[in-house]
Amino acid sequence: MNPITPIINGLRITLEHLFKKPVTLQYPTERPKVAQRFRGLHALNVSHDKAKCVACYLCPTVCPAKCITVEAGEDANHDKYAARYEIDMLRCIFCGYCVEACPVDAVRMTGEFELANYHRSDFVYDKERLLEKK
Amino acid sequence: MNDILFRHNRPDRAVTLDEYRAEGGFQALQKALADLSPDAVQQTVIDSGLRGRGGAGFPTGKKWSFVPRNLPGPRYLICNCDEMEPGTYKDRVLLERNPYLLVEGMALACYALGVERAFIFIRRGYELAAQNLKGAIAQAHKAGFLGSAICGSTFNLELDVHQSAGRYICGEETALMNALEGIRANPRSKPPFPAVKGLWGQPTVVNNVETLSNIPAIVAHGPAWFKALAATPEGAGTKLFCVSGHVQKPLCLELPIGTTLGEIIDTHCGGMRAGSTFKACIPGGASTPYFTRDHRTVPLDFDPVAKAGSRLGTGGVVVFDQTTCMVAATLNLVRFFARESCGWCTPCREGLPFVQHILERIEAGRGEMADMDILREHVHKLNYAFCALAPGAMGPVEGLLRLFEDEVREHITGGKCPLGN
Amino acid sequence: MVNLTIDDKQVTAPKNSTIYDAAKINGIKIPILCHDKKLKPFGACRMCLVEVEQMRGRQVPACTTPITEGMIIRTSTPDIIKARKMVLELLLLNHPIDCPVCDKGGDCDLQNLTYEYKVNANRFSDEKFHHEIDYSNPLIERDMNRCVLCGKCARICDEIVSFGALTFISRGIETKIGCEFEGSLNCEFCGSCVSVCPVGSLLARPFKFKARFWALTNQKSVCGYCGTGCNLTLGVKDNKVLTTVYDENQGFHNGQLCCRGRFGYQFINSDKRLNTPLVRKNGSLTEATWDEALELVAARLKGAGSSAAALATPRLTNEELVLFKRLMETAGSANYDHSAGYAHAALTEGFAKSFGAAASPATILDIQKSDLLLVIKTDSYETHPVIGFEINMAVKNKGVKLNILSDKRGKLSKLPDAQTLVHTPGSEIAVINALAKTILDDKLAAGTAAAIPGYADLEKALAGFTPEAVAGQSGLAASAIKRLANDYAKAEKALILFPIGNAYPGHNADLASAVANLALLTGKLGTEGSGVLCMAEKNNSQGAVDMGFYATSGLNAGQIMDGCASGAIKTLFVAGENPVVSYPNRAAISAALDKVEFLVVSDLFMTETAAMADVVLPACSFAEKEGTFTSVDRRVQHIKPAIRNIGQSRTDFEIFGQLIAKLGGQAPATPATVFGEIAASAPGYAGMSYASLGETGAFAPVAVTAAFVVPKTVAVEPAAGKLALVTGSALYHNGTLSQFGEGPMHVCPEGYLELSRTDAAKLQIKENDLLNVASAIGSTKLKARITPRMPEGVLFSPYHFGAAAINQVWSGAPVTWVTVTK
Repeated sequence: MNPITPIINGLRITLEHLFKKPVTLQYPTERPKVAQRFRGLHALNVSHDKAKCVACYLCPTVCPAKCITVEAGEDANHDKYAARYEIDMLRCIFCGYCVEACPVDAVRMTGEFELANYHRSDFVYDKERLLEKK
Repeated sequence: MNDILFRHNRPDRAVTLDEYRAEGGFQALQKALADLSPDAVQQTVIDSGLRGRGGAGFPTGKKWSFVPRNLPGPRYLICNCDEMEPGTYKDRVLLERNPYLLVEGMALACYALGVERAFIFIRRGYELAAQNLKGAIAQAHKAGFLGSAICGSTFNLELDVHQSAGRYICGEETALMNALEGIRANPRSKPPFPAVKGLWGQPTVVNNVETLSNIPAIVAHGPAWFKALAATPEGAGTKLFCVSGHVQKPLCLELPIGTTLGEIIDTHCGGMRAGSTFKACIPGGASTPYFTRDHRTVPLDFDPVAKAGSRLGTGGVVVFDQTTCMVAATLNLVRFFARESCGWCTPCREGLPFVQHILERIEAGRGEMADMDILREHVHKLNYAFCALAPGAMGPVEGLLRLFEDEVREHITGGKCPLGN
Repeated sequence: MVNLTIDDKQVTAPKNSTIYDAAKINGIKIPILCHDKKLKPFGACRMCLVEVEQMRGRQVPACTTPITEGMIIRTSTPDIIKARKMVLELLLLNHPIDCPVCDKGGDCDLQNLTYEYKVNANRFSDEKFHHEIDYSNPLIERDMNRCVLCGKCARICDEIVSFGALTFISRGIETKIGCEFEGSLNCEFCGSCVSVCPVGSLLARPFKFKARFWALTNQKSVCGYCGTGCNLTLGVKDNKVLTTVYDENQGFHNGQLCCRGRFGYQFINSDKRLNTPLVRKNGSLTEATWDEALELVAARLKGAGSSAAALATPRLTNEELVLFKRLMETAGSANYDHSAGYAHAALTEGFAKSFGAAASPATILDIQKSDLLLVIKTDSYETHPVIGFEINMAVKNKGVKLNILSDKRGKLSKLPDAQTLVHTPGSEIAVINALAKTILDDKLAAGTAAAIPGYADLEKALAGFTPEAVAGQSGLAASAIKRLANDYAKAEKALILFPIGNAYPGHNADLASAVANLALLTGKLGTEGSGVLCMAEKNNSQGAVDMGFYATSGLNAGQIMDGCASGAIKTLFVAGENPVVSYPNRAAISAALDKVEFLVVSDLFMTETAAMADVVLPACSFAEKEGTFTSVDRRVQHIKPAIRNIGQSRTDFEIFGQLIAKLGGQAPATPATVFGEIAASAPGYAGMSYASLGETGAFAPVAVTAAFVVPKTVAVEPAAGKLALVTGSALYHNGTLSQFGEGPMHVCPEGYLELSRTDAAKLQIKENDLLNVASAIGSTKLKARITPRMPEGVLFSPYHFGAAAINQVWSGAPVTWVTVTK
């Protein structure tokens, strides 16, 4: 093979890319478009101004990383609700099993991926922080 | 023809003891106590071919023979007069006219079985019948046909009338025993059968009013005479038929067992009402599958009726004319059974109301074709209920699906009752 | 044995078994919903349908159909599977599918069967129920919407508990389980109904929403309340005992528990548990380190000699009691005792003399095998409810005759054909002597009796106890005494039961001897179903006796208290006891404890006694330690820690061991070593080891050397115008520990004074009136409870409560004469 051909081929690829739209983003000034099915930070769905979660304990049971802590409580109507619902994002592997296991469609995963924090304790998202924002 | 059960009847009142005795009453008892051993009485009943008149048609003598001979402790006879089957009122007519027949029949049965204490479990609504019975028992006591050393023999007997608190399930013999013991009237599991372990854990025989009322005549005239009464060679004795519905003269009458349906309606009940044509009937109380025009020649006896796909049951014939919607009629019956279920076992408790709701939907024109399959499945599976109530309740439904499938289909496809109900 | 074929497999099964039993013992699973091995066959759910070839292939319920020779059974044909599926579909027709919020989820029979039979979608649909849910009860929540009407709750309440709180109401589709007149639940709260409920209809409210069943670690243990020795399964999560888990295969009692066993576990993880050692500084208890506290105690004990004394609760393990004894011996003192010094006398003095062994020559298992039970005091049910269940079952299922000798009627009196002889309080020994006298007079004594030492003395001593003579003082008819004596003597097998405990000072050595005399006279001993069972109060009362933790050469509890008051005892170490509440005469006890120079208390809680201490050591509950408990019938059972120690608490084993080390002694390393020593020295324990005890425990046999002992009788002199107060146990409580169990406190939160309707009418007292009860030694205020079971002139009060305690009135006499005013 002509020793010059590979070099030319290489230069051609380089040149082609010079005129293509770049795949990288100028983050944070540019924001990525997050896919619908992206598995980011969890959110607790709300219905009738209340978290839909009934504290059935299926998500902590199914969670392979054991990052979900639920404590059930009894409300004034004697119904079950999550008195405590915490996800430790440092442990979470974003597998989405919790969403799949949920029998009442109470938890989903949002496109939120910016989870950096300064303190370990800040990675533990409690119920208040997880409740979906309107 | 009133050979046995209605022989002593007065048109407007109950027969008195004197009248009854004058016409041969209590002679069978006297004869048995004087000349026959208990075993001989039992053998007579076995030979007579008498079958239980309460619905199941079990041979009475055979039932008696299940009672163990040498078990210590008392044994009991219960007369089941909890007549709650819709369309059936024979025991009422019988007791309101002649309670002595039952008293004598029970005395004979108790003698044959070695029972010294017997109970008559009577439906709460049968106030007059209960009063008659209580009076008859008191009279019989006075005359020495009850109590101790009856007619100079060593045979003792006390009869008690227990007025039920009233529930259809109390007609089931084991539920009846529970009710008599003062506990919730649920059926008991069999085995052990009542003949071995019944009332208060003792051997117990439960017989229907009509069955027991036949005994005096059988003992008095012998099994051959009794057998000859029937309209068919296979049958034995007479049967009370209660006819109701769209006939000219609804009534209760005593006829040879094996009389055909057509004869009963046309000859004895004066035919159908004006403007009515025969569509179907229930041949033997609410829990039996329907008969149609094709069945008018069926002799009403246990085996022929069973062969024709139904049951003779209690002999309560309810006749429907062409204006009757069979879905509505069945719904009416199922509603009764669903209400009367004791709530003990799953298929009956949950299944019957469900069947009722399906029939309601079909009748209202909201049925689906799949409903028919679900109904068929229930007809099959409700047979596995704890007692005979649910299978009985499915009798009419089975008949409906077998004989009137087209009518059900019309309800579903037409989206309404074709008879405009 | 019967031969039959199940699913083409040739099997055999015992005669009289049902198809279900036969399949079960041969490893063939038939699904059930309404069947329970403890209950009579029911046959209602129709899940267990099987096909029997001989019955023309009819489907019959396996749970009620008895097997016959040559039966050919098929358990899972397609048609059967279809029938079962349909049963499930029908049940799910009305069942709310609220599994996510139902606490039964994961442990639910209906859920499991639905899963097993793949009833994924219901082809049927219908309206659900709208029954009102009963949230009002603090222990048992009833949601009849979920009910599948298996009837197990109603049946267990009737057949085993014999209370009958629940029953079927209405009929047809409206059938439901409820209380009489649809009222609220007011029962013994044993929770048996909750334990057998296959769905979430009956739930333990204290455990409501606490955890899922699959998240619990099940730890087997032995109940730490009474001496029955019931086995428990503790449901543990995150080092917390959250509930007791029902296991129908556990223990002789098949998982049956009473209110305190099932609902009284909360003391283990109570917030009130002591977490750190406390040392009294400047008059108040302040937190200290273990070293500091133990140093203080060791310094006081070192060389203290007989100025030191110890009281232990018989809730400690055998190993701890042995160690405690060794600690006192190391300190040079022989002053140690338990249970107020008198509550074990029936064993340590009575049986020790009569039987030559301080233990009962009978077991709980004899109850159902007997022909006749003679129960001294109806309280036997209240003190040991699970033994009470055994009595219920014996009487109701086995036709065992029940005779009761008591100063009041009670639950047991209501059993079928139970004969209750209600005597005047305090006359039981005289009555029992009269029974013995009748047996002698009517020549009903066994031939062997005359050869037993002491026969002649007894015969002489009983001369004055003719039924006629005793009838007068006991308020019984002479004929009733004679009849009972005859029934007892003529029964082939007969068993006598009586409770002992702090609240039963009258159940002393003399009563034990009197009872023993009866058994010895008639030879009702040493065979199955016969004997005498002394039911000691606490979980290891019998063990404490077996370990010799009672006064032999030193002072007993009463004398120790006197010693404290007089100044002779300078250091008192109380491990787990709460004498201020549980010993008679509160004023005297408080004064004595006030007086003692140095009081050490090791306990779980800041009890009334601990509050007076100089050093308080936080101890561990039974759920945190290893050791053995010995039940009333000498079943030795091994317990293992279910959770880690709470806070800084240490087991008494560690505490005593460390103190022994500080005193220069040799402390054994583990409870197992100590148990090895016990097995070598304690009579009957020979050959035992933790491994050999296994899960069921082992009986320490009782070798009887019989002797007749003449019991002393003290005639109770009625005091004019006063009422006779007798003390005892409330059904929901045991000792003073159950005050820290939430369940018992929900049902029975405070002491009360039970009196007859006649007395109430006379004194114009209404239910719940606050009464002033006064005796020679003091007074207290208690709420009135008017019951038909009390005879006229007799009052009853339980002793468990620290507030408004009965020991402010009760002097320790079997009968205290009191006045009651509003």
